[in-house]
Amino acid sequence: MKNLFFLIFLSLLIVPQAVFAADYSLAVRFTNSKWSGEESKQNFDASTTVVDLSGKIHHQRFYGGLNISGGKYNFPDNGPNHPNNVTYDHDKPLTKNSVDLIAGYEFWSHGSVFIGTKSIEIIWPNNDKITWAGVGAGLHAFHPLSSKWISYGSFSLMPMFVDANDKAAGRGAYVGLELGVNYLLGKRFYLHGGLRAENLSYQIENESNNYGFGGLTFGAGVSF
Amino acid sequence: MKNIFIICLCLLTCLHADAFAISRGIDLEKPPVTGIGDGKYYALIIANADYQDKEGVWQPLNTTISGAHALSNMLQENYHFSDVTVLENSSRREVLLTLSELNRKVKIGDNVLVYYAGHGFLDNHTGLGYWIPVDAIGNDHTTYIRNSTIRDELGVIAKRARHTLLISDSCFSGSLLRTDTRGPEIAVADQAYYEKMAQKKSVQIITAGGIEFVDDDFGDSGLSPFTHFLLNELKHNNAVRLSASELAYQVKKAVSSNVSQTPQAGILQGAGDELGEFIFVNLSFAIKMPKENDDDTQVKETEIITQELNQDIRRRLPLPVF
Repeated sequence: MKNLFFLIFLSLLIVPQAVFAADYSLAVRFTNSKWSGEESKQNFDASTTVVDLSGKIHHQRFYGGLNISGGKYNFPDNGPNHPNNVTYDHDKPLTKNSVDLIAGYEFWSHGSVFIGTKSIEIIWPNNDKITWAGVGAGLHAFHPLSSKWISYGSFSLMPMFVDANDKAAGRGAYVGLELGVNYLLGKRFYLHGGLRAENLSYQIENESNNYGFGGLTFGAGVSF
Repeated sequence: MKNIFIICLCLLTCLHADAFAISRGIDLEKPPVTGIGDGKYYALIIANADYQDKEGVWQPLNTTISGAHALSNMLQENYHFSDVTVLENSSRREVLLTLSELNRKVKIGDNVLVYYAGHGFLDNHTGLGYWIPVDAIGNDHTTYIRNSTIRDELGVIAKRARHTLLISDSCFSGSLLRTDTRGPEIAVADQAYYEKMAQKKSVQIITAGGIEFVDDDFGDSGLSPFTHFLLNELKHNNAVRLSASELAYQVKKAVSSNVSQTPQAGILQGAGDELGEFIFVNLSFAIKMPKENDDDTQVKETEIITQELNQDIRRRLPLPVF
């Protein structure tokens, strides 16, 4: 999977000179994310603020970008069990990081199709970790409400490979949905807010687990 | 995972570096599609209501603040204005400082609209007109803002701006004008006309009345008659382009039909006006689909604006996330 990342990075880096005439944007967003989990023997949930940084290139109908996010979840009672079946240790935070690489094409004036890779990792305090990675696709659309306010939404699907402590451990699926509004501020800036929901289901050691992440999201960006 | 983060950060740094490289080098701005609506759109909206005059000459006004905010929203939401400053209840010093600040911000080719709503005064002996700031004291003219000062400030702005428009909703605001109404032949205002007008420099003025008193309230609108009909025309404008002269023509007709005051329009003499026109670009119209009965020019213009708007929106949408 890492090789795939390298290949995509390399292809982005050697994109021809056309890239230099492209629009660039950088954005930050904060999501009040609630993690609701269902494992075979327990349910649990916890909330945290996830910070998300992204960079985007836009050239004519093509766009691409990188998205990095992370947050620490502190489960008050039950929490996700370790990959080696050790029970979650009460009140110790888990780290969830995620990296997305996206390339899209605007087939329509208000809509596009994008493909990309996603890698999610959850790290327990003792450094046990589960990693999900996959290649998937999605749809993105917007609708101007006025010249400043724009509603938007995206939906994505992805089959995923699951590694537990760097060893192949099973398969899963990821579904992402986001609905929001964007406000164009001046010539370069924008603010956005909305609702975001993600679902991660997977099987590991013959047990089915299902994690939902979601909440209100707010962010700001600047284009160059 | 750490390696991936490091690579990601490197890539992000590269992107950022490229962006700065562009801004530090030659700024390759996209060529304008039509020349209309180019340049940044600035608005300075001055509204005075809470007059503090202890001598009681200048009484508080009811509608200026609400009118200012309504205009600010209208310009930002519907008309491509990206830098709008609303100055409420400002003193003489604040008005002059803000005009100076605007002078410094404006760059060559920009579009500047200055709106004033508040008391105005005409000295019958000298023929001099004034704006009245909230800290004006009774009949002391030195605490007022003289028309010649306003003209000078606008003249400095107009040296750089391609189009400058002053809209004044105050008594005796017609004293700002030195020439009679100038307007286009409305019937021939087509795409070619707007392109020609957009290229020529303009320094225009629209006033709520001539040398006369003007009303502060219009029915239950919460606005003055002039600002009510000004907003009404901007709101119901169903064309992509609207020139200041067209706007003035419509507002004059509407106001004079409803109240006993007659808005005026003209140019600021000596400020380099080349008989151009301040053009309002109606972005809200662009997001509507062209109607079947719209003529070809209208449809073509709408398509151009829609493309520009969509391009701007797309580059400033958040990256879709998985």
